[in-house]
Amino acid sequence: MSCRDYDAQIGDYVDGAMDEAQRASFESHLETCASCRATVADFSVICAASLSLEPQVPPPHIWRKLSAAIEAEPKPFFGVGGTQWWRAFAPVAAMAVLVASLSWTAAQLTSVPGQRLATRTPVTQSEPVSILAEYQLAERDLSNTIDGLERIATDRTSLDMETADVLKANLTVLDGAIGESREALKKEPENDVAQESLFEALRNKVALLQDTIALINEMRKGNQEGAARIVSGLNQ
Amino acid sequence: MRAVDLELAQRCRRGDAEAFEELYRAHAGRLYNLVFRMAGSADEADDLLQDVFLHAHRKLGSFRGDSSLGTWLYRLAVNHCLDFLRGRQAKMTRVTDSLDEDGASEPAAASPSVPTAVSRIDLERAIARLPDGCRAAFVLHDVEGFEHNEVGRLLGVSEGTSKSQVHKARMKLRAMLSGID
Repeated sequence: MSCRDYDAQIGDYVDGAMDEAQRASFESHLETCASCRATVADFSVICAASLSLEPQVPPPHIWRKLSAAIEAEPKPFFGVGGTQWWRAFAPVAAMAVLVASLSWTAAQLTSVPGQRLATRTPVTQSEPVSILAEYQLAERDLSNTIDGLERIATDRTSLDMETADVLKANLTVLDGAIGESREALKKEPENDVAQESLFEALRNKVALLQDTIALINEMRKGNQEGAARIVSGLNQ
Repeated sequence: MRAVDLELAQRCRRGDAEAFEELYRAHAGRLYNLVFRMAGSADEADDLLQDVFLHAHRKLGSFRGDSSLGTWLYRLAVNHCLDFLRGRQAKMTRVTDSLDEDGASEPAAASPSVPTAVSRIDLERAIARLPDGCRAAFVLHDVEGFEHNEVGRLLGVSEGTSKSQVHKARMKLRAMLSGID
């Protein structure tokens, strides 16, 4: 074998990735080849130095800019702090107020399974994929979650009429936003704004359904304190 | 660990600013090391880190806890860096590309010799001068410590390609650190 034939093996040797036979063969070549010996020595120095590089510290201004950028982002439904989201999601706020004013008793409610509210389709953590593919994956996951939640939250036997009507009205608003985003994405699949809008609307729908179901469960258990805590959360 | 991650993600999703800052403080250091060396410049690293966390903030709804938040963020950062590098590469001239392709990685004619006590500053500068493709593989393998099969998965290339890219990077670094290039 010529020296060049060993070229590709130098990395494996330096990385300790050779088996005994390969290593023995390569080392016998090294005994006779000053050029490969020099390369091995230099690679070893580079590898050792690379592993001990000083950590780079992110400058403070990154967090300042990032937190400002996040503050400018649309807020989730039931977030803490900020006020803009109330304007964007006024119908949901209205629902929270209405729910808070409902008179309810445990007797009005039938028992509810206490199992997890959402069933998600298991999806293997993705390898590097395009942003478009990631959005499609996230959309599928959220849609599956919504299907499961919606079956429980919109079950009329679990809700009094008034709450169910308010929930339906709010879901209609969100479904409208989801539909519009999907239409836009049909025309332009890589439209960032439409992707973000769709994702946000789906997340908001999940949050609305989850909180509604949590409220229903507390009411069914007759846990007025728990229900009040959820309603309080809705109003934050 | 996962339960803690899921709780933190849930708080972030609900708009808890303190939770998101907690997430940032916990992971920004490691991700900054990655983006700094993948991009090869501090200015671009600053923008990249900010973009990664902004993207993470928007995507936290898709975090299912299949892996740790750190791993999830790391993959997000690698993908973000690759998108950035591809975009930058697309803007580069063919001259640069062809220089990279036609043997610039071969050993220099003279026999180079890297000083045994190579300065970290010199090494950082040399890494920054590597072509984007082989720098990404080198950073993930030699700096971040991933195996070639893991580097291949992260970069979307074969294990063999990862090895050849790392070899190419080491040869270039050797030349640069020896003062030949």
